Amino acid sequence: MENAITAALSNQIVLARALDITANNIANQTTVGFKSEKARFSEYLATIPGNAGPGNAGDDTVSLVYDLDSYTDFSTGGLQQTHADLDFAIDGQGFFAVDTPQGIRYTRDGHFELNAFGDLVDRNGSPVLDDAGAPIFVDPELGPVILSPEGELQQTGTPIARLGVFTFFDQSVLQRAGFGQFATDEIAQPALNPRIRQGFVETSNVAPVASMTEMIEIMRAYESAAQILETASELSRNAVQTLTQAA
Amino acid sequence: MSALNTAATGMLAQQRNVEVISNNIANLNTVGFKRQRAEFQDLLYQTLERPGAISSETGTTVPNGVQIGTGVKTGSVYRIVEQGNVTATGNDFDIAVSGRGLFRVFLLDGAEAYTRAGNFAVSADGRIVTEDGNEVAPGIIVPEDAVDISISRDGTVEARIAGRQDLETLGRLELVTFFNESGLEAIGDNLLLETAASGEPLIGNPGEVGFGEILQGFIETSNVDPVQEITALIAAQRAYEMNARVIETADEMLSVNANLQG
Repeated sequence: MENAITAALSNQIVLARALDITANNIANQTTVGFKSEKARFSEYLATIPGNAGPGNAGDDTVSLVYDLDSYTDFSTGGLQQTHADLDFAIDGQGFFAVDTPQGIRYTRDGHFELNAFGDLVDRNGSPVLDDAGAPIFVDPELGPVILSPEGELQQTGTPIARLGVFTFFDQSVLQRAGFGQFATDEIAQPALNPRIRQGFVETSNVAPVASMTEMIEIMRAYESAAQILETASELSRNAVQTLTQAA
Repeated sequence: MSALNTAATGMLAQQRNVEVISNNIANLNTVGFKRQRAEFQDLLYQTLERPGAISSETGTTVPNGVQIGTGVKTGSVYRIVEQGNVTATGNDFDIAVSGRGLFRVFLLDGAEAYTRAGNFAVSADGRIVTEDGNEVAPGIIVPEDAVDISISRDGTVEARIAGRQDLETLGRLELVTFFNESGLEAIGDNLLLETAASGEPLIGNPGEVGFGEILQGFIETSNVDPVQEITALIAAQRAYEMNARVIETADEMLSVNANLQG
């Protein structure tokens, strides 16, 4: 009986976390470059010792559920046109690299600006790196920044830098660092012929409708777990009542 | 359950989004207005299980860990300095900039501000001023007996004085650019101020490399696209509702347990 309660409880704990993850996805449905997070559950067989008896050779096991991990869905979001000169979206795989005080971070949020000194920086003021890992300097007196079809940033026809796009053999090494950024200790590979779009940003890859149905499923599952809790406790209450009456 | 707080940050973000969109729509017909865009960033993540932690007695490790986000914040509200449409007005002192550059304006307290709104006029003492009466740099004085004013594409202001044959040059309008034009601070009345983020103003003349050209008799309309704003408004409203639903759901889940009959 206690096993049923434990099993249902383990389910509820996991579902509550799954809701937290879904809530974060829904909150970030309009966040540029956001990648949704998915929870993955696993079965955990807990051994209940000393339950051996007639027709039961050894220990019993009870199946609990736990959250094995959560993973990032790196599928590409939509492209939204902003007409801003310094907004870039990667059409395909890869990440922009920015040099933050905490080290190099990778991001799909390609809304860049110039700081007061003409450095190309991200929303947080961190320099954006070119394909060789160096910061990019733009002289505004030389006219607007144009991205050539070959992926080169140019001003009045003069190349100034090549925006760095980096890929990973295994994207799951990337850990979320908040502020649209990912951190990793792994070495990034410069992407070959990345397709970058100027004047666009990548929208969040959260599918709001799917997230809403996911949320409803979580809630219903949570309710059924509560139902099990209630049934299990009712059973033990009945047992106590019946047994005391019989005595 | 952090879902309650997470969804609250989502609602707050969408509220900010609606505020920015409504300001854009309100300024649909404001001369020289540049639309703004609110953009968001995810907040920090709570790592419940470190990647690489041992997950079983046989020594297998967790490949990814469990990372739970804590919501969203407004990352930036930035101005999109894209060129607005240019509309002919026929007024001599309506001046539009085609390309980069802002007009420099002297405020009454002596400070300088910058504007794209070129609907100028002449003050009682002959100065070229903005519609609020602030003098436009470098301070061109139009003589009282000037009958015809012409401003060339490179900003040279010339006047035909009554009774004289030749055009008289009165001065040349100047433009300023910034390293980071979106970093300017808006103070209302179509005026912008220099900030630490914008960098120092670079003063030049229209038509020079990196500066736009002057169009006399035109004004630059706002670059707000109403269709785009209305669809953004609808999306923001739906996103707000979805976050509200998350709060409802989290609340319902909490009440399920609170109402358990033990």
